[in-house]
Amino acid sequence: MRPDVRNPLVEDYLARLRLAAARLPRAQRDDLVADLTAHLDAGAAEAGSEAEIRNLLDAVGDPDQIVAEAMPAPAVVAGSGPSGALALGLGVLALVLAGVGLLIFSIPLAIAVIALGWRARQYARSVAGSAVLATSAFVLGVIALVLPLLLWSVLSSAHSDTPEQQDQRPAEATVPLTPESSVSTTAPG
Amino acid sequence: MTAGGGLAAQLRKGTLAYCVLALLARRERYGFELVRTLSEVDGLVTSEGTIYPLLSRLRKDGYVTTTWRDSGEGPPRKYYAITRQGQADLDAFRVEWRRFRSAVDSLVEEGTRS
Repeated sequence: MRPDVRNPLVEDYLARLRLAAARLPRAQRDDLVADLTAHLDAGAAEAGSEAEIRNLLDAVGDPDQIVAEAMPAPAVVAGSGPSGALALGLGVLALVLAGVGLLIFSIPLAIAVIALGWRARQYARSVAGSAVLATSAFVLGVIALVLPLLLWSVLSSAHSDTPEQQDQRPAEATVPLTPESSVSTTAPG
Repeated sequence: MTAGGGLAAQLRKGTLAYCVLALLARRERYGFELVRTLSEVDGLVTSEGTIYPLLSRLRKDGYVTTTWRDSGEGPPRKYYAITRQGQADLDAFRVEWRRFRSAVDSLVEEGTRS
C-alpha cells in the first residue's frame, strides 16, 4: 500500500538512502530508490507497531552498504573486462612504431594503450585478478607517448643546425606556388 | 584462515544469484515477496536491501525480466520472472554445484569421521 503519510522512521530511512545513492549513475539510482520505497511501503503496511517498523528497517540494512552493492561493477553471474594482455600487445606495437618514427600512428595508439591499460588495471583490482599485465601496458603506453615527443624535439633541434634543409626545397621549388612568384622569375630584368 | 562471517559472506556472494534464479524458476514473484522468501533461509541474506541491486544486475544481464501487475489493493507491483538464459544458467549451475558439493564433502566430511 502506498501510504499518504509515511511513518517518520521510513521517511527518514528513505532520505538517508537518497543521500547515499546520490553517487550512483542516474539509472541505478532511480531503480534502487523505487525498489526500496516499494519494499518499505509493502513492509510498513504489514507492520502493526513501531517495533516492527524498526525490525523492517534493520532487515533491509545500511543504505551505504546497499548503495555500494549497486555501484556499477563486473556482473555477478559472469563478467568480462578489458584485457591486460591486449593492452600490453598494443603497447609494444606503439613503442615499435614510435621507435621507427611513425608518430602519426604511435601517438594515438599510445593514448589508447594508456586508457585501456588503466581500465584493465581497475577491472583486475575489482575482480582480484592480476594487474601486472595491465600496469606494464600502462607504462609502455606512457613511454610510447613520451619517446616520440623526445625524438621529435631532439631531431628538430638537430635539423635546424644542418645545411640539409636546402636539399629538401627542390620538391617545392619545381612548382611555382603563387602567380607573383612566377611573374617575378619571368620578369625582364 | 578465518571461518565465520567472512567465510559465510564469500559463500553467499557466489551463490545468492542462483538462489534468486531457483526461486523464480518455480514461479514469478514481486520484490518484497522474493526478498522475504530468501531472508527466511538462515544465513543466506544479511541485508535484504542488497538483493535489489542484485536483481537489477540480473535484469540488465538478461537473466530475469520484470512486469508491472496490479495488486488489487495498493500500487502495481514489479514482478520478476526468469528468462531462458537465466534458466540455462541455473541448469549449468546445478550440475556444477552438485559436482562441487560432493567434491568438497568427500574431503571435509571424511575428516570428521576419521
